[in-house]
Amino acid sequence: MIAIVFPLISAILQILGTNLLSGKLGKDAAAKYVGMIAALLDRGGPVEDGLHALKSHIEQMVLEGRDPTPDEWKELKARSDAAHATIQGS
Amino acid sequence: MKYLNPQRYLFTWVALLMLLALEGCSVTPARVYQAAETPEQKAFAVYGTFVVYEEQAAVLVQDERVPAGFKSWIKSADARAKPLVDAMLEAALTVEQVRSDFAKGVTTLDKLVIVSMELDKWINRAVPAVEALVHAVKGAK
Repeated sequence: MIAIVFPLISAILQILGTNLLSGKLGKDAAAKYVGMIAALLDRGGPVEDGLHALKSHIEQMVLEGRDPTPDEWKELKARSDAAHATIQGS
Repeated sequence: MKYLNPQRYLFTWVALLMLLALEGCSVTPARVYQAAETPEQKAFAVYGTFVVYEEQAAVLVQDERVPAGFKSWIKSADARAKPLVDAMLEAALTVEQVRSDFAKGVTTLDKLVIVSMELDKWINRAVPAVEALVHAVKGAK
């Protein structure tokens, strides 16, 4: 979901920003300026996607009125053990 | 009011507008923790956040462009946090088991209160350790 929403918001803001500034700077310079800000604000990536997915997962648990199952814990621990082995073994 | 004139500060307004809109959409570990309601959900949020950053850390320690100092920072933050989050996980599973036993009437409320307090203790220990790994990963990125 977020993988769609983020680029969409970013694209809309870049178009709006470019239009707002193009009268003052000219179209190319405005596009460059807005692109620079967008790059500075770029928050996409695996960490952000992972946090979004986790937050949605917990919100779903809350909606269902349940706590994490042993299988959900098991999956999380397996991922952690694999990453931990890579980090400490590098 | 001249400071609010959009024509006068157009560049700043555009940058601020983009910053505010994107900041509003971003998810931080604190926002993940806030989504949880029960102690077990909170423990899951803390452990899940740890896993998200730990997986990113695993990528960074293999990246040749990341300086050795940052890799060492990541390794020590992970080494400190891992036993704490694992202990928190065990405490959460114990609460789950005791809660189930309590529902069946085979244990007491006192026992449930004790293991719940134990889980709270481990969550409070794990959160700063996870935050330390978060800082290390952000520093290396």
